[in-house]
Formats: sequence, C-alpha cells, structure tokens
Amino acid sequence: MSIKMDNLIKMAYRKWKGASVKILQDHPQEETIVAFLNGRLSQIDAKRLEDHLIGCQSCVEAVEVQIRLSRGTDLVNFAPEELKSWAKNLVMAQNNAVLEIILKLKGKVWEVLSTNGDILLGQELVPALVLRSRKKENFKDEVTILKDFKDIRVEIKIENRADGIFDLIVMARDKHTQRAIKDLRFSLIRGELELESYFADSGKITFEHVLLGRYTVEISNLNDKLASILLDIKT
Amino acid sequence: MDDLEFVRSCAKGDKRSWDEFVDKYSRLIYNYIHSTLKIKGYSFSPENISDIFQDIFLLLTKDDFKKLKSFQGRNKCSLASWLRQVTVNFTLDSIRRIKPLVSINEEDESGFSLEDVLSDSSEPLSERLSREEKLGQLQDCIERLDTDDKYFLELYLERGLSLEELRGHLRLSRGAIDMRKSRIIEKLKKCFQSKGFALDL
Repeated sequence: MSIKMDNLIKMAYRKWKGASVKILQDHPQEETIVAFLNGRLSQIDAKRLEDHLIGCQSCVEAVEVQIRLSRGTDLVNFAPEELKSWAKNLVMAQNNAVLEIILKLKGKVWEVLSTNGDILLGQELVPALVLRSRKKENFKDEVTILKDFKDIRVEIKIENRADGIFDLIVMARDKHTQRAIKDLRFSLIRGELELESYFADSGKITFEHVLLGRYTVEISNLNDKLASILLDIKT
Repeated sequence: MDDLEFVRSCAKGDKRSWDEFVDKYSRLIYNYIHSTLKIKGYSFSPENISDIFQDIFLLLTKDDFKKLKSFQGRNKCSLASWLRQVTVNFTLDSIRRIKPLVSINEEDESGFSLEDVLSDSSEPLSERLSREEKLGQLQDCIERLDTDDKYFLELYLERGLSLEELRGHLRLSRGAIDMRKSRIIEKLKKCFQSKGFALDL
C-alpha cells in the first residue's frame, strides 16, 4: 500500500471500528492467547478470537507485544536477589506466617496500599479492605498495623520523621495474655543483609532513621522464628 | 513433575516448590516486564520494574493462589508461555493505569488525524463532503471484509506491525504475505468501484 493509501484505509478502518465495534467485557484467558499465538487454536476458535482482538484494545496490544517479542528479546537481566527473596517469602504470607505491609509516603501522609494485617483506626482495628470501602487509606504522620501470629500478637507503628526517613516501632505480646514476652530478638533485614538486630526484654524495639525501601523484620525467640514482617515503603 | 503438578504443589503452599518456582521464573518475568516497557516506548527505572514484578507475584499468590491455580496447561500451553502472557498483560495494564488512553483525535505517527481530514478548512466544502462520503463508503467496504482481513488491517495499519513481523505470526511465506495484502486492497478497490468511486492514490 502506498503511504497515502495506507492512511486513507487506516482512517476508514478507524471510522469503521468506532462505529461498529462494541466494548467487550469477556476477555480470553492467557492460555487461549498463547494457543492462538502458537497456532494451536481450532479455526473456529481462532476466528472468534480474531473478532475479539479487532474490538479489544487491551487484548490486541498484548498480542502485538508478543509478536514483536517473538522476534527476539534481550534476556540479559537477572531479577535482583532482593526481589527473589521477597517473592519466596510470599508463601509464608499465604500460610499466615507473615505480616505484609505496602505503604506509600505522600509528603507527610501514609497511604496503605496493601496489608494482610489490621489497621488501627481510632480505637478500632480494621482490615485493609474495610479501610478502602470507608475511603480512609491515608494517615497523617503515623500508621499502626497489628497481626496475630501463631503464638504472638505483633504491633508495628511506622512514624514519619522527615522526607523519606521513618521510625519503625515493633512490639510483640503474648497472643492470649497480652503480656510482653521477654528475650525476643528483633532483626531488621534488607535483601540478604541484616542491618540491625537486638534482644528486647520489654518485647518492644524501635528501629530509628529507616530509609524508604523494602525490608523484612524478623521476630524470634531462642529456638524459633515467631513472625516475619515484609515491609515495602514507596514514595 | 509436569507444569500442572508443579503449580499445584506451589499453590498448596509447599515452600520448596515455591522457592523453585521463584528461582526458575523470576528472570523470565523480570525480563518480560523490561522488554514490554521498552517495546511500548515507556521510560522506566529499575524501581518501576521491581514494582511491577512484585505486583505480579502478589497477583499470582493472592486469594490462596487463585491466579496461579487458573493455569491449566490447555492446548499444550507451558507454564513459561503462560507466565509470559500474564506478565505482558499485567505490564500493559500497569502502563495504562499511569498513561492516559490515546484519544481517537490524537495524531498518529504519520501526523494524520481523523479530525484533520474531516475538518480541513482549506478544502472547499464540496471536496470535503465528497471526501467524507468516500471515507463512509470505504468504511462500508471494510465492514464487508472477512474477519481474517480485518485482523490483518488491525495488525498492519493500526498496530503498525511490519509485513515481516506479520509473516511470522501468520505463518506465511514472504510471497504469501505480499499476496494477502494485495488481495485485501483489490477487494477494497472492487467494492469501492461498485459504489462509483476509484481508489487510486
């Protein structure tokens, strides 16, 4: 096609799309698209999918990217170890052995992006989903999150100090009696590196002047790891 | 262990399987995020890739591994291919959340917009009307094309894929892909002629 012809047909095609194609809700599953790209769909299913792709900006864009990528990708990057160890811990989060907290700092305000703990709202403890439904995801200066583990209740307060610096106050109590537990070890870890580690008789520790980033806080007694907190603080 | 058994074992919360999953597929996911952002011409930092990487892993594991469990290996789909597609889809969604959608009146790469053509004030009214009518008739001819041909136009004209890229995707020889393109133009020309116009540019 000449450039002029291309443009005329393109404009007419866009007009046709604008007038004829309906917004589609039911998107094909990833496996269907993979089968289509690999030429493994039946003719009928392939035609049905093509019909969908013509009308669906997001699905056809995904196909377009896959076609372009199939001509070779520069697979040279390794996923950073820090990210891999974070991902490995997710299974523990699924098994309820991890408190996961993702926060965003906007000036002096904390936005709770996601957590599997309960957030302290006034005198009430509420899950993240409820927080969202009440449109109260933002906290000025500090946010406190709690979670019950097998034996202990962990409370973590994240306090804003200055731009991009915060304090982390971690407290662990006996889940049933609410008494402080002696001889607990609290460790602040970034990636594979242990930054700070303390024993605390009071069951409470403050990590001061922490920078934004991804951390793991581990709480253990002399024999076992009792809780892990995955913390991701972004701006 | 095949892919399906492996996924089931991960979804049961088996730590060893999950560690293996992370070791085996982190690089693939990380690279596909990187390549998708690059292909879409989106400027990004390593933090952007890390954020999307984490969100994909959260997607795979949340609600008791609901997304990961949706992998069924149908049509001989491998876990790696499935993860590639999940990664591409998710990365594109992430871009869309940040970048507003392109308006239909926005200029394309060639500098043309539909508005330019339809409301070119330097064009005499009669010519503009005739051009609009032509576009309308051509639109009608496009409607009459087969799905295969419309899909070709979508990829070639709208998505800007080259004939070489299309050749691989449609599993056609160089000659056959040229033939396919010519056949579509011929169909449009014939249809246009039957409406009393000529498509000679």
